[in-house]
Amino acid sequence: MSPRRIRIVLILALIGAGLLLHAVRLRTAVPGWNERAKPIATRITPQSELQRRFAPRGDGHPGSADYEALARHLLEGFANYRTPTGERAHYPGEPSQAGRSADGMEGFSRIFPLAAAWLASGRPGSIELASGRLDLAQAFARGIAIGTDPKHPAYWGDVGDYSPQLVESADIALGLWLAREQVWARLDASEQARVVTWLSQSLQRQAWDGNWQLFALTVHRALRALGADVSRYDERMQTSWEILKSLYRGQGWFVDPPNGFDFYNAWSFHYSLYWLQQLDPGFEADFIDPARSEFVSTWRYLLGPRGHPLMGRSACYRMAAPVPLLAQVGRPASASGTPAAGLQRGEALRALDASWSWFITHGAIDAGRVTSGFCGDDPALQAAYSGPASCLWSLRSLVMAFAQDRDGQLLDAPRAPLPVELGDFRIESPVPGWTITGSRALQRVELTIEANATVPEPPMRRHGLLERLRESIVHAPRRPDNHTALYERRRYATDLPPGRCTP
Amino acid sequence: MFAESLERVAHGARRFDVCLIGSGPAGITLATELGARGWSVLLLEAGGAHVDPDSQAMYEGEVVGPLRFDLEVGRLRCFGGSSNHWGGFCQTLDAIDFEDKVPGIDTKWPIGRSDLEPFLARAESVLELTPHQPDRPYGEALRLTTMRYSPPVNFAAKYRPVLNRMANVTVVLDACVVDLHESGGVIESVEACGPDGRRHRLKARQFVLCAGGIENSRMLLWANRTQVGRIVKEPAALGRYWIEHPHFTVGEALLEADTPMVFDRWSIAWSAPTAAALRDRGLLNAGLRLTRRPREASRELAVRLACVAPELGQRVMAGLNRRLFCGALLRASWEQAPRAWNRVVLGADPDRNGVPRAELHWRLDEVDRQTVRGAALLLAETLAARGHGRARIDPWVLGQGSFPADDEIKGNHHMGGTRMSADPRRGVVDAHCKVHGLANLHVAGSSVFPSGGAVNPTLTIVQLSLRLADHLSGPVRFSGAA
Repeated sequence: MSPRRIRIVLILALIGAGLLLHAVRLRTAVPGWNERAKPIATRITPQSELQRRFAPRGDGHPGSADYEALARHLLEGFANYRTPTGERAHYPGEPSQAGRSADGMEGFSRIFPLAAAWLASGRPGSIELASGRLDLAQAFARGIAIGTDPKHPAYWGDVGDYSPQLVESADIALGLWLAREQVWARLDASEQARVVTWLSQSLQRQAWDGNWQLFALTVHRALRALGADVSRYDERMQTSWEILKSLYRGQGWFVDPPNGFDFYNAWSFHYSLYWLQQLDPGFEADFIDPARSEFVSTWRYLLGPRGHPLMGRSACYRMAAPVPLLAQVGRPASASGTPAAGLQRGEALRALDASWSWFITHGAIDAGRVTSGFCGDDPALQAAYSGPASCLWSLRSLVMAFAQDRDGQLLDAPRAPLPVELGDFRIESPVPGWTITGSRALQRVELTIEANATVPEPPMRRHGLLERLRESIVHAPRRPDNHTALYERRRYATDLPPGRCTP
Repeated sequence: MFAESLERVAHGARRFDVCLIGSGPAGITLATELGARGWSVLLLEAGGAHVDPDSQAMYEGEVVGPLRFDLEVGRLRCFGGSSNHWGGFCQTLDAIDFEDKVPGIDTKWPIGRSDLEPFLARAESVLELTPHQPDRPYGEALRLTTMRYSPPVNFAAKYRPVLNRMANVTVVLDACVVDLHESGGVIESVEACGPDGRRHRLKARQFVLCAGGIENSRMLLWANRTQVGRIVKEPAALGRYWIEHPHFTVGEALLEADTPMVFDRWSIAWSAPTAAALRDRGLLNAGLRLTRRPREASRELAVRLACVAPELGQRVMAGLNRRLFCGALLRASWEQAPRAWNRVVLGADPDRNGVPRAELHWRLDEVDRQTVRGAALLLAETLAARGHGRARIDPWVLGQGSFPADDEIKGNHHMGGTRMSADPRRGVVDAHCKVHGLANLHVAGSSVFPSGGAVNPTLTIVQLSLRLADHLSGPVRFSGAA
């Protein structure tokens, strides 16, 4: 074959390959796949300062000033990544399958409750940025007004069945209620009406039978608490509540289909139950109160100074693991196995300190954002539905802490040791079939799931070259399926972290 | 006889022996039975003599759940009710259908099949059914069943002349009951709205709600609201445990020539799990239907099968030339797990009579998937084990994803909502279909079913109506079985 013919064949082959690639991407590509944000270092509260403030120390513990520095760092990050119109924030990281627009909305909605709790706690209404000051109430009110305006080009989009907007609406509604005096009150009547209209869509859409049922319930109770008439959805919400209750298996545990028992019990179910009772005092107290008490009586054993033995999906929500303990702060000791009220508060704060300290010193915070793995970024642990800002659910423990803190009265309160700091233990939790053992000498916590008798233990698959190659072809997440390793191992322990982690 | 108008009937302030609310198969069966025994019967029908779009619009409401359908389509608001468009499919409930089958799923009736059997012959006569054929065993876990067909009987056409001849039966069309009035544990009267919107009170000694699987719940919910809880005093179960027979295509099958399946006049071969298989595998009941497909579709299926089972595929392809096999669509309709949250509630928007429209909260769950998966696998295993063919089960049946929203979804079998139970906290009516706590209000129709088995409900509705007629007009043998 002559060189000329070879060239023609090669050119045709290249054109064919290009057309094929284009055709594949037309089917698979996630919108905005290549539009990746770059990390922006925070200047006012730099990373190094956080590392110093949360470094393990022989005596003392992080206090309100340290947590305020952490919040400032995260809010500065939000300011750095937010869009010019302020209704989204595009954080650096691997996109989700939902696309850039939904990912950007998460960047707004998932930090909004932190800002709202900050404002509600009476802290300063603005934070310092390198470029000036950011008026938090104004920034979030403006973002919400734009995001819920269907006529605005940056509109968040309608809330659809099983949609990302449905998930995020719960955080928006909660934030609005928390900062009702600062943010909600700043919206004019027409903006408030638009917000109610947008949020009310969530009350009419379909959610998966699981923790998703809590999103609409939160929206419903928040809107009602804000004075909106949502009575026409009362019966639907009652149905949602009954479906959720059908997932209850006792001792505070819910199954989350199809995954079963996992850490969503802490950072989703019990977080939302706590807020439902704040939004609607007395809501299902006969059911929720004992469920919360019984749950924390076991859950507290999982939390140690070296993290927790995480199993299950969404590992990057890791700093939210102390949520069930924080939910009990201020509640009278009642159920057997629940520590006394003072100890409860001290232990909850110690759990908060331990989680944030250990994870911050292991790469959980970087350039004003929460990283995507158990320690630093790790796409092998990132589900296809998770985007660059999804991991801001980790802030849920901070949201609860700030919401309950006034003038440092909570965050500066005395700490009490965690169970593993007091002695060795072996705790059985029959409902999920978990055995939790602790070694005081090693500061180690282990979770054994006896029903998982798989030998050898299922390995974690890495997000390797093959996955990268596939992603570069299809322009969509093709992360490894690590469900087996995350759910079917027999042992999970603080010294066996899932995924990459530098000791 | 047919009354000229609601106003004229109400004018005399006459007290009837019984007022029947709704003229579907349940209401008309009761009217003819009680009328034949000399009772003065008032039969009220909300709609007119024939299907009318304006009247149907009164049935509009909303289905809240992942699988939606139109509430005004599957039922008819006119004389004869939904018998004006039913298919005539009839089977009796199995004995196991009256029992609990799966732990945690309340499918138990306070009566047994033996309590309905005395009424079977009369019900067969009402519905003009083809003769009963006993089930035939197929392997250890399946049985080949036979569908019995009604012509189908249109109750309006069949019973209009009968009722017209009965002087003691008064039929009023366009009489929509909008309220019940209670005093001292007794329903004194019902309030009905005529086409002009004017309301009239009608009195009777006994009242029976026969308005269908959604309207019975809606009416009681509304009356309970207006009468401040005096109608259903323990309302925990009111409107709840509403069930359908989910209808879905679950796969396809290639059958060898010597299969014992018999295709009936609708080209359907019916089968179902045995009671023992249901107990062993922890399944609710299910009906499987293989529908014979045209030859071209069978050829396509054989080609696809050849990819996954080459040996069988080759045999089948050879068979194609010899016409030795048939391809069949595998469909299932099954017993839905009764759940409290599947329920009829009063919606936010009223109809033109001021009664809130029905809002139906309805969804399928993992127990339903377990039922259909278990039944489909039983058939696939049995076909393969006995060398009668192969079945391919659709991935959604075997997986955990959504139920396909583009399928038939339901059979327009509206059951539950006023379920029968000896315990007022778990049911609305007792074993004799009397509303708990009231002396003279009964409910007829499939809304009293605590569970629905996997068979079409009309035959059971007629059996229960005949039983209620006997109960109202005199002592009835009640074994208290199950």
